[in-house]
Order: sequence, then structure tokens, then C-alpha cells
Amino acid sequence: MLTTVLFFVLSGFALAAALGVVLVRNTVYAALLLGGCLSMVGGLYALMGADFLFAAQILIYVGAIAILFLFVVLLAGRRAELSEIPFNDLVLPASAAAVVAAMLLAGIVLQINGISSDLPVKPAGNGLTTAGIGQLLLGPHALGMEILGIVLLVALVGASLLARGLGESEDPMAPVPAPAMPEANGDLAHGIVPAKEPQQV
Amino acid sequence: MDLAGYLIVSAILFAIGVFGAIARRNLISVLMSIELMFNASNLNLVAANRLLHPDPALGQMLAIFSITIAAAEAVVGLALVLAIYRKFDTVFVEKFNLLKG
Repeated sequence: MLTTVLFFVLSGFALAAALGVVLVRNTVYAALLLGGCLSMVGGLYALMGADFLFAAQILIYVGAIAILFLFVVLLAGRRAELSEIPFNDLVLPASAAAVVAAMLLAGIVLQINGISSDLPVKPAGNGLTTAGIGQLLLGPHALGMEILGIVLLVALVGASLLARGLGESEDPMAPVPAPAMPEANGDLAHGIVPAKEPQQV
Repeated sequence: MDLAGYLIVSAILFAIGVFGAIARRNLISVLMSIELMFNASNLNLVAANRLLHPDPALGQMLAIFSITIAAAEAVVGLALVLAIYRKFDTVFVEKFNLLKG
């Protein structure tokens, strides 16, 4: 009973926040709503007994990706864009595509539903699945985990290279020129001395 | 709650993501909608594994792989957004017509 109520509350908030992400005009609010929606999906994971996935969802999605979206919105956003229409002229085709996608998936659900009602719903059991996931990741699926590590490393290097900007220099592999070191007898000395004099007076 | 409830929530979430990815003008909002679709598929995966498969750890490990790929995608996509914003000075997708004939 409690799980049913929790399911409806969590999924209702998740869907409402997802609608807000898509419909709201200000992308700062959209990024915050995205964090809320991902938290609610994490709650659904916890409701299904996937404790490690709940922690991973909060850490990776809410803690990293939503905050990263917020940073990019704050870096690349404009106040003037808030007064513009947030949708292009594909609203009707997009609505049609969304409805068709939902109907196709719901059709699959209705087909599955008759089958799955025969299967016994797994009980909550002894709970935690973290140990099993760890043994799978370091045992039979260790190669996949190593490949994922390489993918993450490549994404990290590529993202830092892209975000630094390739347009500034001719050679993208050229090292970034170091900032000029201030000379001791240069302008800096003349700049410091007048600043100190009012303090001494 | 049985499997159908989770699958229907996942379907609606995916449909919302499809709508946003097609209809939004802001490139960052498009990436957010893609993240919504990733989450819908993950929810589908975990629900099907939890309620149909005897071993709960196997499908959750698959979902963790999917989350990791989604994180890498988001990072590279946002870096591309920043690079494009620096070049074009806008984040609206219809302005990115450099390759349009």
C-alpha cells in the first residue's frame, strides 16, 4: 500500500518536473527542474530495491550532470533570450512524434502486461544488491568496466580540449602560452608604490 | 506496483523527452531532453530486470553502464555547446546553419 502511494507520488513529481524542463522558458529553472526530475527517478529506483542505482543516480545525475547543465546555462545564457519564444515551428510534428512514441511504448506495455501478470513478482528479498553488482563488475564483466574507464577518459580529454576552444590558435596541439611573468622593475613596481603610500599616510 | 506502471511512467517520460528534443530552440534544452530520454530507458531497464529477471544485480549493472555512457555524452555535448556558443554567440539551434547549402 505504502509502495503504491510512494510510486504515484514519485512518478507524478517526476513527470511534472519533466514537463517543466521541456516547457519552461528560463533554462536556469529548466536545469533545476531537471535535477528534481532525476531525483524522483532515483526515488523510483529506491522503490524497486535498487539501492546502488539510487546512490549512483543521485551522485552522477543530480550531483554532476544537472549541476554541469546549470554551469553551462549560466555561462552561455543571455537575458535577451528569455523574451524569445522557446519553441521552433516544429511544435505540432514534435507533439505528434511524442504521442506516437508514447502509444507505441504503451502498446508494448499492454502486450507485456498479460504475460507479466502470470509471473510471480519478485519479493524484496534480503535487499541489498551492491555486493552482487561489485562481484559482477570485477568478475565476469571486468572487461566492460575497463572499456568504460577508457570511454570516460577519452570523454574527459575531448571535453576539456573542446571547451578550451580550438579557434584561438592555428595549431590545436600547440601549448597554451604562459601568462607573462611580471617584471620586478617593470610597471608593477610603479603600480605598487602609489598604492602603498596612502596606507602609510 | 507491477511492471506496467513503471513502463507507462517510462513511456511518458520518453515522450516528453522526444517532444523537447524536437521542439526546443535552445541547444542546452535539447541536451536536457536527451537526458530525460536516457532516464526513461534506464527506468525501463531496471523495472524489467527487477520484476522479470531472477538476478537483480545483472540488469542494474547494465543500467550503470548506461548511466556512465550518458554522463560521457552529456560532458562532450556541453563542451560542444560552449565551443559553438563561443563561435556563433548564440545557443539557438536554427542559427547553426554553417553547413546548410
